[in-house]
Amino acid sequence: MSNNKEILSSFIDDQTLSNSELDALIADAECAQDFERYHLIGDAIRDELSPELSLDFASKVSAAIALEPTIIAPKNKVVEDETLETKKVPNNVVSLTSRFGSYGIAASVAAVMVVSAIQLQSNQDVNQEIPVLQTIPTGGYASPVSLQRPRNTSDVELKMAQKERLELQHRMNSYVKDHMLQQRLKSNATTQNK
Amino acid sequence: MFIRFSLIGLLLVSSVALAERTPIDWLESMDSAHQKLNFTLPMVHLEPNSAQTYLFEHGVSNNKQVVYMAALSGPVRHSYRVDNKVTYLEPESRPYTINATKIVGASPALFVGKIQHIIENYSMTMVEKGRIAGRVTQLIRLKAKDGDRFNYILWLDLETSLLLRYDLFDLDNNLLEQVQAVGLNLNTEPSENIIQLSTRVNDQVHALTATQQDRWTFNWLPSGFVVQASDSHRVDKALSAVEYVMLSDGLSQVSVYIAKASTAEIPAKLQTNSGITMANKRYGQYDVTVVGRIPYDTAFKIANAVEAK
Repeated sequence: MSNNKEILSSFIDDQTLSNSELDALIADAECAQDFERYHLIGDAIRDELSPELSLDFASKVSAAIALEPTIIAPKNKVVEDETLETKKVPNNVVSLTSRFGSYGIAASVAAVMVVSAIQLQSNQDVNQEIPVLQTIPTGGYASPVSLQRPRNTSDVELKMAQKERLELQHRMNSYVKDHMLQQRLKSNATTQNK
Repeated sequence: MFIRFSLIGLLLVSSVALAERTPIDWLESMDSAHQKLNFTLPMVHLEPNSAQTYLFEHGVSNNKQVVYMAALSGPVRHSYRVDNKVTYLEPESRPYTINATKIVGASPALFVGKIQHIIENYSMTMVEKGRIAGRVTQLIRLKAKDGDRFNYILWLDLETSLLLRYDLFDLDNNLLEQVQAVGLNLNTEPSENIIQLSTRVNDQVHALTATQQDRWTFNWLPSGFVVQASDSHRVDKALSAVEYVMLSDGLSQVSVYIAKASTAEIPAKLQTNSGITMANKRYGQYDVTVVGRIPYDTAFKIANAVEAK
């Protein structure tokens, strides 16, 4: 899976891929979502969104491809073929629920703002900047920054007990959520705190 | 006929005015436009890992200012403000109403009423003309006077001065957030929805339950930031209460949490993918956490400046 992400990354960066790598990419629905999202964001930043902005482009294309044989099929078989083919569509179509599950509610206060995988700094290199922020360059491509995680963090992560780490992550996420809530409650209150 | 003459008159007047308008003039007319006009803006809110569409509606009815915001995709989520009462209706919680002058969140009204804060903390530059929602806009760049807050670019509609887009950039000019209108509907009369909201009377203001606390002070704060509020409350059912201080420079808010030290070592630097920074510092038996959309170095300096009174 993560291997596919690396391949996707190289693909986006215009590196030459072998046929087997390309096949692996094509078979991976999640990668297709990532690819689409990166380019959509890139397009949005470069102001190149088409007027009919459709987040569901990939699935429409897959659906269209899946349905294609019915168009050239003999007329008397069309009805039968269509039902057959549409039944197959869900396999090819990127699932909507998983897509929205990943980022759909991101603008809300209560359920958002997950601290992107707690990054740990080892004590030896406190001053080393760790590229935690997954932002997008203002010009050019939206490349998947998250894939270039420093390898040595995994060693440090092991040192911290899993439970403690989850608790910590929970606490940090709670702070972010509470921060959003407190902004509502206190940042422009009219009756108090003046 | 009269209409045609007055239109020409308007054009003449506005073109004369355009030549002389300073960024402050622009912000002032934006302020007044966002308080007086009846309009609807379908908006797109982009963050590095999310794209959300929502509707922003503003109108004045029965001498009341009404703002209505609703998510257009995903779970039903809306909020409205009638004068100084804001109500949030969301799937995660029961609806609640609070006293507030703004709906918090990505909103084209973010900069309304903030001219003083902007003048104090940002230098303003008129950049160029752009086109948003099919309309010609004036770009204004807000560059922070110090490295303690992030930079904005604003797109103001040439004709109405309404804010049609803003981008938030970090200090390395990475885009953190983009809020953009995809259309603008101007109306002479408030919509049915606005009229209906303006006549609501039964929204009870939610009482805030928090224990007052005033134990902490700061030996340094970034310029323009003041203590906006402080209390002690629970951030989560499973966690014990923390002491809390909110700092604000008028545009951005920073939360400071002081909690009993945890057993786990907390990384000094954390960041969400939408540019919210968390700086952690341990003082003996306390952990101080600073949360906000500000540069990490600033957050860390604030964490280092916490002192018990």
